[in-house]
Amino acid sequence: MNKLSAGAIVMGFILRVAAQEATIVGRVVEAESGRPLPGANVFIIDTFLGSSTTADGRFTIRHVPAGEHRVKAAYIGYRSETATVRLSGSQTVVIDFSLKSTPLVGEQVVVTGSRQPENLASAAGSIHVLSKEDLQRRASFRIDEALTHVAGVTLIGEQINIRGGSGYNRLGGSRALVLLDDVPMLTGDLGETNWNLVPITEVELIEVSKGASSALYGSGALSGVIAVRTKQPSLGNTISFRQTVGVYDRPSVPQWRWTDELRHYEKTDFSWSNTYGRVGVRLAATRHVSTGDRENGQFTRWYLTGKAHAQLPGNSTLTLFSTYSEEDRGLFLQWLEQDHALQVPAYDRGKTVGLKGYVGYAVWNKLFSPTLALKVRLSFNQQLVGIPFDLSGTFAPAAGLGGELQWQWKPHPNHSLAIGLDYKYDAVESSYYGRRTADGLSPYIQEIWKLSELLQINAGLRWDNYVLVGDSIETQISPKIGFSWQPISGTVLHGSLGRAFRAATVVERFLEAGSSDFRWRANPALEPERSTLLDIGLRQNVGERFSFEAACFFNRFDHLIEPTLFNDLTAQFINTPAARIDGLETEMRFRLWKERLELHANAVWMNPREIESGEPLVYRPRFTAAVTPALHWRRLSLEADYRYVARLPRVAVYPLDERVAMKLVDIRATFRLQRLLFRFLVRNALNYNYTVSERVLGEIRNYALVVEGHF
Amino acid sequence: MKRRRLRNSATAFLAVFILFFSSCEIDHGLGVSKSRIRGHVILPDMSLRPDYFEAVRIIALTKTLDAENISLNDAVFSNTSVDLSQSRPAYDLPAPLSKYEFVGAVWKKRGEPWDYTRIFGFYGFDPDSFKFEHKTIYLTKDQPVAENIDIVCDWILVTP
Repeated sequence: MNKLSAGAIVMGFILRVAAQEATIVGRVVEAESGRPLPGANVFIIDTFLGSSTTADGRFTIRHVPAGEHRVKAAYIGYRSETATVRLSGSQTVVIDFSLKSTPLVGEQVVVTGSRQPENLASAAGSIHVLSKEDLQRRASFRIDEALTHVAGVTLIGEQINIRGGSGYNRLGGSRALVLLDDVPMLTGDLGETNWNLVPITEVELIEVSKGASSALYGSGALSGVIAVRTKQPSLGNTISFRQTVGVYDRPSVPQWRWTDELRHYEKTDFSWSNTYGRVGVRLAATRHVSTGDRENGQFTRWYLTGKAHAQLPGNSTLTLFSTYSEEDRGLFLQWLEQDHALQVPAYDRGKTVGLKGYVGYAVWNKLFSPTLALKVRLSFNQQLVGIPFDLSGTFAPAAGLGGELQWQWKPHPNHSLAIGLDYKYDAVESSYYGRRTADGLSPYIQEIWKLSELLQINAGLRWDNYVLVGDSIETQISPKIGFSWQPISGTVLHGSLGRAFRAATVVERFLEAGSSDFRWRANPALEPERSTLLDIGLRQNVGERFSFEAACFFNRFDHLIEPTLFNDLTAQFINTPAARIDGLETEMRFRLWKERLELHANAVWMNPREIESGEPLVYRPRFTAAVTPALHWRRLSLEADYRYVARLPRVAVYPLDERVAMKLVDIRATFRLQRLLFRFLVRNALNYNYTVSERVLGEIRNYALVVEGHF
Repeated sequence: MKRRRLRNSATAFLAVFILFFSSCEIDHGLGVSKSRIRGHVILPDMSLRPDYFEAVRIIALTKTLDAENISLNDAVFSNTSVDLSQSRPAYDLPAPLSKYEFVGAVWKKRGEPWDYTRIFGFYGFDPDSFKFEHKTIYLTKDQPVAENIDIVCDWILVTP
């Protein structure tokens, strides 16, 4: 057979296959109200064919081969539904789903735990999903603020702690990796996250994967991964807005009152979306202005976000995303003194800092067959994250380029493989650490093996080679293995064991700078941090209205990099002795009284300590808890959040300062009127005072009114 | 009948709610520092002040000066400078409940960071006899304020 005839046969086969491909379209709505559910997953079981619903709840699954298929619709907080369809020829079939809300751990599709779609209920690791509704109901301003409502997640300063993994290593890198639509967001210099990058109103959901995740994502995923997924363009013309206005109350301590002016804030979010032919477009803009509740507390933030999603010929899609953010804010490093906790020392008065960030990416997805898919991603990330001690003016932006190639293959209905190659390049420059470039190439493989309908094994391996040009080469192998087993209906046991690492950042290794109080010294010999994390858990649904989750975790950390102050008034990042954090995390949800009364509660006990000395680790609370009761009555909802974080047993700086537990109460009332939503919130309703980091007070009581509309 | 029962239940619930909250003392967490060290800084002749001498802060140490491994974490210091235009400026240092082995004043060299080893004077110091009488200060729940902790300063301790 010559080449021409072979090509003709292949082409004829493809055309014949194409001719037999059908399309499934439909809508996913809430059963109770009939309102659309945007962001729901609709997919064909045992294939990679699937789609997310748009803002109007619609979905389209193209290129479905002829035959009988089971189509599943799943959404967080709702009971999933499956429909069976028989397709023949190039027909278009309509399937509509009405999902009933449930407090049970649903069958929401998550991808963070294994780099490929899997059910949340059967995930091997501990994964928490914050839905768009969770973000919306609290009217959170930023992603980090929203994350504090997740069990086991606390915020110290602006550093996210997953099960106490991070502590607070000021100027040090993050020990939780943050992904924006799978693009790593940690900066090349500080290894930190700019939480202002994307407006929270553009976030569809956030997956928080707790546990060692370097086997999936490489350096930085030491204690977990926070995956932020942005909204998709809608099929029809959609306009949304949200206007928030708020005022700060007077401080509960009369001596702290420092101004007679009314302190206030306002935030305007606007988005527009539509689809033209095969191209969906989404544009959003946000402005957030605040006087702050304290001296130097003022800020102005701008966000501009754009996303385009195109259906290309040949069963492929192209997604382009771009976001730009800018922030100018006053610098509040620490209070003047505890008697004047809302004022700064005279030498900091009037100081400001500017933060700018840009992220752009392009993702090309190609479906070669229902069981073979390819994803190619290119990303660019440029951020100037302000650094305290008045150094920001001389910092050049940290720029990062990234690329990824990932194959997903289901060779058998019981096996699902993800094989990929990650590339990253960072370039940073500053007079405080010179010009530094680094690159890394990392192959990885992940397998989900269904031994039976009730037992699943997850395994993964990643090799990271991170080269800091002209300085060092870090080579790490990160394995991970996990399982989930459903011994009886409604009960899932799961567990995972993995190793993770975090390479020292440029700032941690090379920072040489002085402040009015002390000098930083470089430490180029820093070892990477390593962790070994074991997580064993239970997910239990009782009836239709009660769910319970519990997980024990046993974490060992080696060579943690911490800033250390020496007697000669110099500071340096050093590797600290080995540490352990063991603990128990529990979470429960239930609904009563015809779904009108809802309760969600969690509690986490931890024992963070240095192994050799037995001393508690700095900046790790031993206990955290949260309770969220809610009452829904027709169009009205009344909700409250109570969050408790125990007093930190040990801190690194100012240990003599008075420290208290965090006890925060937020209350809110929501009223729905057709396409409009009115919400009144009281944050920190008891006007409770606590420190978010040394000598920095948490926000005082404030009242906000939110008006939201979707047209 | 049903409506009346509902109204009675709501009234009872409201009454219990109001009673419960009116009898509760709301915990506001941190407040102003209740424990503090107060006194005066007895300055030497400020006309002799060298050009490089910029400012003065108060410091309280939980360890003795000759102890090993003294760090900033063993110290409480004021965030503002003492008023150097007065001869006996008063100071009021908020300090957590603890035992303080040393209370003194430190000076800042112009153009350089604060160096808390640059001592300008301390409580118990007598420059005339150059005598240091060790006096420990205890801030306790029962006695959270230490008064009249006067710090005597002298140029003899200041070297460039």
